[in-house]
Amino acid sequence: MSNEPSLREQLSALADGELAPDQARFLLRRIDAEPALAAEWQRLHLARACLRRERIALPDVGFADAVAARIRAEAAPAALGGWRRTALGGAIAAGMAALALFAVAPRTDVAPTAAPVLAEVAPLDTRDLALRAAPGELQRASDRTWSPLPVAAPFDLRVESYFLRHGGAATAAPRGGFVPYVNVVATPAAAPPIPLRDPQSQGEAARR
Amino acid sequence: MSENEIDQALVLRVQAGERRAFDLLVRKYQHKVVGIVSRYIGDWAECQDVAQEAFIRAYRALGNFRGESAFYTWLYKIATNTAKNWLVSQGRRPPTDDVPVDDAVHLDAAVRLKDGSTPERELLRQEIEAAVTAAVDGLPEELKLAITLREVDGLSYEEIAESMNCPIGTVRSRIFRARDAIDQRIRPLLNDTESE
Amino acid sequence: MTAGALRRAGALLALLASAACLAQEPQPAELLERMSRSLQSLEYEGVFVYVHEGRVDAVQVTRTQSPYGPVDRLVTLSGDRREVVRERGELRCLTPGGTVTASAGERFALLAPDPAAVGRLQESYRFTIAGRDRIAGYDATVIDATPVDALRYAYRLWLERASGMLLASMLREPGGGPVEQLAFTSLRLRESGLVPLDEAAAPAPAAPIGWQVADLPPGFRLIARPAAPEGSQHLLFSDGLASVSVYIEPRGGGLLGAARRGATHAYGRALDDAHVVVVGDLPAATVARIAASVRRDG
Repeated sequence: MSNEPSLREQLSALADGELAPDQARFLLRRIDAEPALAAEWQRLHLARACLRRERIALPDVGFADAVAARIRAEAAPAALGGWRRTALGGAIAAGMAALALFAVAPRTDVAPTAAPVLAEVAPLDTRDLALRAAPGELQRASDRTWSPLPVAAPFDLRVESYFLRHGGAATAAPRGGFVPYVNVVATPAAAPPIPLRDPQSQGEAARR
Repeated sequence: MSENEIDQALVLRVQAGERRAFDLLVRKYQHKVVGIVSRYIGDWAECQDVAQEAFIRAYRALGNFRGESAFYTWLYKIATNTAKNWLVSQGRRPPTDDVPVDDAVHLDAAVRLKDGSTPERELLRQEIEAAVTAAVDGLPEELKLAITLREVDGLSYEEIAESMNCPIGTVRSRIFRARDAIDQRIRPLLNDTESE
Repeated sequence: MTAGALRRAGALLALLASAACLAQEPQPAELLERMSRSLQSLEYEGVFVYVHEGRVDAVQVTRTQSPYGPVDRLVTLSGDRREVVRERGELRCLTPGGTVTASAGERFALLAPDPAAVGRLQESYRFTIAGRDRIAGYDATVIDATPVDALRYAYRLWLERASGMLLASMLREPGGGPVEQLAFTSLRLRESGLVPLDEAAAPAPAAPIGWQVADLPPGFRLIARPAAPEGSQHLLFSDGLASVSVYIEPRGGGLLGAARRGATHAYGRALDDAHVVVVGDLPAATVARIAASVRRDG
């Protein structure tokens, strides 16, 4: 309970919007730190609603505290948790070493085991994509020589979180709205895909 | 600074990353929001949950709040739509008529008991309302006039000073003293359970 | 009305006239609006293929609507298993390398159902109807959005005719080849019956920023300030189709230089005692240019 009359008088003026901005800022910080002032603020508005004969109901005891607790719980906009190893298999620390690796464009990193043998992938794309309005465009990049298979970007949770938060917020792009976070889930994977020599041997591999 | 401007100042603080400023908005509007939600949802516990959810969703959406409409108008919409969606998800049909935003209609207790309130909370609400009225009735005339001009007529301190022919500092202190008297009456009613 | 506005209105009329040839074809503007609105009430599940950086991924996606907001789940069916779940205001990204969580803001309709919002889009793109198509069993209207400059991608969007749901999309570099393609191979759409929390368009947030992003491409506006850790800021700008996040954080931030995910590029740099990271659905050069233009206000 605050016994400081001037502070309580300021609170009253604040509720009326009659406190100078710098005083208001100061007082708001005091309320943050003093539960008694926050409780008084609450009662003041309850009394106001009664005076104005507004339609109100009394919330549960501790209603505001419960909301505040939930906000605290979800407040960390980018918490990094449970991270263990990079996608490349080696344990690295979150930090500059990882960032330096990350900044390399994926295409220039060639997985030593991945380069040859990936002949069957592209034709599948065009058929399934049904991009009939723009035939041929899909293959353009790689119809003569196969570019090396991209390897995984080394995993850095902090960098990941920028993309994740952008995906969470960017409702603007229609793609972002309907298939959000697609860029986050579909980062090039670490392990090179299983080489497709021909459909038959692939089937055998699956049975094994 | 109008009431909207106070809300706006709090919203700006929340948008700037000061989450605790939101707590003041919750404390300011919780009675009204629970009141709105209770119009849609009769069960007390459900009503509390949905009202809480409305605040949480407003908090998450605050990054998009433009400040062109009044904060309460916006919050009101989120609260009603959260309540309606809750009913839809329960397979119930939400009422088609919306309560007007500035619903200041005083409904009698018989009607109220149909919506989301327990008899104890409803009784307490009535006691508080009676205590506020009694407190104001018992005020010296100049305090009573000051608080009425402020809370009921919505006048600014300057307008009240003009009307009462006194300095603004006096208005400020009269309003505070009136509020203090009201608070002394309602605090004990709330104290045992919810006031620190 | 200014001369520019008249010209734009004229262009719109011409567009309407040309589109009228396709009998009963919804207008691009109409479809985009529909799309924007249906984001908040549609439920769906399906699988889409996603072609990016020389890879093809298959991704399963489900969206359900709840009174607590939409619940999204995306799981890769190819490559390493990666999963994103958005539920009750939380985003979780689960990958073989670890888990990232972030808070997710509420999504409100981006385009208000008013001509002004669509008019603003036309500052940055010319819209034409490319034709009709069928994707995952649904009839689609194909819309081309051609940017007015070389700072952003060109879009080809396959929108479901009734709901405006995005069925496929292709993004191209200005004057270049596709950078990213996406198409549903199977899809089930449902209307949830829930009402949007706030029908209004995503409004411009009010708070002063304290920072200036001096070189945004024309047509970009601040549309949101999503929650950020104390001492940090997250500003979201959009031209209506593309969006770009600007993160301003205390020194020691997580990205220096460039990074990429499909068509989304990122660029981070140190700036005095702060760290600036820009992430946008924009060409790499544009993202780097935006990052270079961030400075303190005043």
